[in-house]
Amino acid sequence: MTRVFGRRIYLGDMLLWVIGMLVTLIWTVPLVWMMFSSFKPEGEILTKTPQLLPSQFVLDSYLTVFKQPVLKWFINSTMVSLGGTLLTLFVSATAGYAFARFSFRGKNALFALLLATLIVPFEVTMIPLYLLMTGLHLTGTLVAMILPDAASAVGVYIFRNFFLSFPRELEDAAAIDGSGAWGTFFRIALPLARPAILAVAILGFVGYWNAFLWPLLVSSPETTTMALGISIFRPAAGFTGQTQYLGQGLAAATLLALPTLLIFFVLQRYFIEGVTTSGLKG
Amino acid sequence: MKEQVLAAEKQAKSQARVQARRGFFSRHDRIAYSFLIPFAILFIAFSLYPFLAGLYLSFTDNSPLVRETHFIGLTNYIQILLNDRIFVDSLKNTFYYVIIVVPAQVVLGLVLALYINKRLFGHEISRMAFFAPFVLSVSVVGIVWGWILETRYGLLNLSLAAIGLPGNTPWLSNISWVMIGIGLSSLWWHIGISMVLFLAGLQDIPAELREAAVIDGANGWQVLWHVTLPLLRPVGVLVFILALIDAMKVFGQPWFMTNGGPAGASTTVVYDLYLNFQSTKMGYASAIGFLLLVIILIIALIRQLALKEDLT
Repeated sequence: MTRVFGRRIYLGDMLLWVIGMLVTLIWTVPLVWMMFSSFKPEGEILTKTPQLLPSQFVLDSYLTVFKQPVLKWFINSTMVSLGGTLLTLFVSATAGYAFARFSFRGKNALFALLLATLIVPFEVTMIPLYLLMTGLHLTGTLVAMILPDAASAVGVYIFRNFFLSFPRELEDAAAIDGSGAWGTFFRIALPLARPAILAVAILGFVGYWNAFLWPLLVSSPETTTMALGISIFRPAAGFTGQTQYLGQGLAAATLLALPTLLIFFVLQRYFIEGVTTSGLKG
Repeated sequence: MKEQVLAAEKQAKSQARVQARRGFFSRHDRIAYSFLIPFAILFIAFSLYPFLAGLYLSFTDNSPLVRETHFIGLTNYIQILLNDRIFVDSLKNTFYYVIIVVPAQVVLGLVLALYINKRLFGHEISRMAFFAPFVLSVSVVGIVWGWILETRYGLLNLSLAAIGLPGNTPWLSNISWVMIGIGLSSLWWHIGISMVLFLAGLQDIPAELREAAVIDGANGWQVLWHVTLPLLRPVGVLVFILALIDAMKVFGQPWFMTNGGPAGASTTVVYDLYLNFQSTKMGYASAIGFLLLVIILIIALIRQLALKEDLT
């Protein structure tokens, strides 16, 4: 035991702290490298000696990457993510409310069915979904990218738990004052459900924003999203040794990463609570 | 006394009559269903229907390029399991990847959670750094790590060489190394979810239990080994199963970094499913999907058994 600034510090803890900080630092390197490298001049990204900082900050990679339809991809991603999040919020809040506040025939069976579907991977249903979208003449539209993920069992679960843990006196009072069930839901219950709304909105937005496999199947060049579009820069695309796409790829990856990283840094607590709930349920 | 019972019975009878007038679904039921309808429409159309349609599809030779679809029973499944070298190889590759990634993700996730839970100076920053990659798209992971793992100029090999370790490992271009390289990127990407689940488990352990052990003379390691870890077992099983299911579905990383190569060594089950989809063998690809589901159901069953063992 030793003393630092008058506080007792265990030597073992100090050693642990040094290792912990070192691992923390290593964990941030890929993202830091991505961001700094997107501002490097061409030819400085892959060098014989590892270089984290650019010798000078230049916007070359960003200027060239916008010759690709990056702006369109970004707008498509934004529309799919916002539209999908709003739809997810609406259907999971109403269904969660029904499971929490009403008793009705088949309630327990329906809820069990809902949770059971959590185990079915999207990979199993995506091919019939693709054929369904073809049948509905929706392939290649933004709507096709929104619909399949909106009915989220996790969203219903989060809203149901919130309303179950929330006293219903206010809603009862509104009902006595002659407000109908839907009026009570929209004017009393939903405005109070802010934490649940935030958790479901974060999970929904990030899920839609990052989605890659479904857009790969169903999008058209007009409706390509950011996460899919930047795959033209993927290292496996057969230009090994040609590094001219490297800076552009890292610039595009930075643009793709920033929105979800920002959401995470600002709303960290809700984010981690959300994924913990959905994980513990899965 | 008797009058009271009679009155109660009478009331129950009249209530039953009211119920009967309302029909099978009461008014109360109908309000509840009105709240469920928006979700139910999407759920039935885009989860339930595709599931059943996919099951049927897997027993057919459906392909949009061919006009007629025939019901062919178990032919797809038999073909996949007995005659499809590419599928069997993709299954082997996927299991190999699972063996590399899953134990590492559980153990490292636990270690990081224990470290964060000590609440040393700056632990919030560490937690943020370990979790941040989890919020990224596989596209970001694939592009960034595809270059980090590059053999000659990649950041990893250069850094290893700089501290005197061998710096010429062909992480993505050698059939024995490729899954290890992809596994490193996955570990970096998804360690955060293991860590926060373990952290949630640690916070559920009452502090009194550990304090009692300390009073009884246990040192730090003994408390960890005899109190903390046994109580974390259910969370550990959960983290293990989630990581396992996650790893069984790996697709994006090889698609971005290796195209399933070299020589098919990183072609996974979902990758194979996607290739069959691309050659429009919809029935065949659906059968691969349901085989994947069967594997995942077996994994879920093992979890149930592991948890039951805890109760007895």
